[in-house]
Amino acid sequence: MRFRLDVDGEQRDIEVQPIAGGFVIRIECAEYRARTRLAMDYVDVRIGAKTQRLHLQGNEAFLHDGIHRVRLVEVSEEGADVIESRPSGPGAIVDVRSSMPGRVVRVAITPGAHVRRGETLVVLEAMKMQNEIPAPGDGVVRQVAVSEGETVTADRVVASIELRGPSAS
Amino acid sequence: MFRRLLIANRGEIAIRVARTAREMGIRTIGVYSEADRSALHRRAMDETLLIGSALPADSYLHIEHVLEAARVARADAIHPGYGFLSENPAFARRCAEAGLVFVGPPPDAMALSGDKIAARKTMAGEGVPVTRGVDRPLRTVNDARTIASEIGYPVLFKATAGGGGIGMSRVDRPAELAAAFESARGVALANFGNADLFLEKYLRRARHVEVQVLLDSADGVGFVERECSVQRRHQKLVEETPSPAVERSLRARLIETAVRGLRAIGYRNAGTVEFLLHDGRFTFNEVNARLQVEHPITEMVTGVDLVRQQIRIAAGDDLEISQSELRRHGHAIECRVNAEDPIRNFLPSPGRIVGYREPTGPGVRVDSGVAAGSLVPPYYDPLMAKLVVHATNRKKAIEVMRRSIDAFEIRGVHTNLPFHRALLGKSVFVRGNLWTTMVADLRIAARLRSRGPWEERVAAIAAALVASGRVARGPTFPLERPSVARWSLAGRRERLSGGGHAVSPRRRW
Repeated sequence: MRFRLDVDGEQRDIEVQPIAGGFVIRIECAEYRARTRLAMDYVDVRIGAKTQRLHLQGNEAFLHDGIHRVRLVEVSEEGADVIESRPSGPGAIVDVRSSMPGRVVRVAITPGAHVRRGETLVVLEAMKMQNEIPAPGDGVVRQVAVSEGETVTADRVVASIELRGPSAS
Repeated sequence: MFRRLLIANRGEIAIRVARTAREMGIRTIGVYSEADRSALHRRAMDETLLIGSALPADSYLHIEHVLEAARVARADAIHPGYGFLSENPAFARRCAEAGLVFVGPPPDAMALSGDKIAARKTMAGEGVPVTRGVDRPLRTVNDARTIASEIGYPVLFKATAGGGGIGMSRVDRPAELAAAFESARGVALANFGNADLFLEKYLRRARHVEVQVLLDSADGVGFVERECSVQRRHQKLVEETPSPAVERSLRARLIETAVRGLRAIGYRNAGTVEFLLHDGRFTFNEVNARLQVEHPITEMVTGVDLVRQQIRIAAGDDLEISQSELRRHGHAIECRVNAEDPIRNFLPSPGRIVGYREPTGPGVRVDSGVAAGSLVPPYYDPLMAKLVVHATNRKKAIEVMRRSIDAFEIRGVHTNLPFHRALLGKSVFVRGNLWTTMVADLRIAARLRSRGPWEERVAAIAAALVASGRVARGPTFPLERPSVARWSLAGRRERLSGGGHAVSPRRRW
């Protein structure tokens, strides 16, 4: 199950997978094994060696460190794209997105170009570090959505690739 | 003494320099780029001037713009901090020509330090032990191959004009040499405008140890060594002083060598000599001709304000301490807090900081360039803050650091605090068994799963929501209720929070 949770004004994409006695919670690549015990008006959650008791009331979560305002955020179509796994297989058109906010320092492709899986499409730079965005599979570039020198946010579409061969995802 | 000091930097170091300048009764003038309009360092200064657009080359690295700001603000001296223009001899010369005092070494000493081969040769001439290698640029791949086989693999290519660990490339086998040579040349050319390489024997499991030195025209003081072996891609992450691997007689030799070496190149002001420590022997690595990021740990164990001494030396005043008066107490550790995600291979994480709380308490110092609401721009270094602790011994310093890491709350951007937490929990670190590739060798970041107390709370809330069936119907199930007014919420939070220590929930509610 995936949803987007807003805690005290900060949104996080969350994936929950049930396991015996609890859940595996994934938040942006971090992973927590939570054991839960449900009572009438509270839930005990154990993560690691620490047990926390939570009272949920309306959209507030009461924890020993105070009250947190909790909201489940409606996942829009566009947002859903980000969290849902992307289409794969020959013929599929895949949007390739930026891994981090930064500046586009190099665009290595033009529309119509053939690319191989792993080939660098775009190079982003942030905080003196360069990050190469690779092609998710063999295919043809359908669209290049960024240009050199431009500043992009994270998860922004930088290119679209029509897959011809095996995909990475 | 100076009356108006221009601080040609941003972030935590600009703020740190401004603090000392203010204590000395000097008016502080800051500079900022368009990306730093709302930056915290502007608030630490008496005046600030805009020096250009977001890219460093158009602002903090732009010599003309910085000099123009100094002229407009009628500054009589410039402190460059670290990075940016701090080790640029051309800038130091231009300052002198413009009648400004540059708070740093003389341009010639700086130029010599920046030329890795010249520095190596000069040090060797002074009897400072150097790592086996060549003292001239490599001409061709075959030249490199001949020397590498004489020295024996593994070897390390270094850029003559390099710095900050950029352009270094380790070669383990002859077959890898040609490709490494070409790529290191390319990197050196792109970053320093000079493709020249030299090579040295690569020392496995070496420690990085360095000596802070202060030199004025008459006196020189060498400080107790700092160990900076915890690195990733040649970037320091954790520093401590003293080194757990250095005993008294070795310390005396390191300090004596560092002071003598810097004197030999005509150095003045604050500088650092870096060494590699290997099998109980040390060899010269390089000179850092500036104030270093990790200088606060030296200040913590000696009580000496290094920036104050820098400014005094630049103004022609005497050092306020001498080698014989210098005392040290206890142990200090620094963790660099970067806007990087250690769970995603240290991916840069610029953005808006929505929540921020620093650890406090005895022995804790935070040199920070950010606060709640700060924007961490993607254009500059990822360093947001330095968490520095001091205690009577190493074991206690580690304990203070662990609780300080847990108490450091930064939300809105990812930080490398989870990495620091994991590192300080490792028995190998606690034993003081450190080496420069330990972060990669031990796969410390690769084994990270958790981000820390805040994310754990979010995970617990998510688990509780799912367990109680509140999200049984999928992602769009609304969880709404009339919102509480902000003041009443704040009041309640105040009553319930009680300083963050764990009291059993039952007693609270």
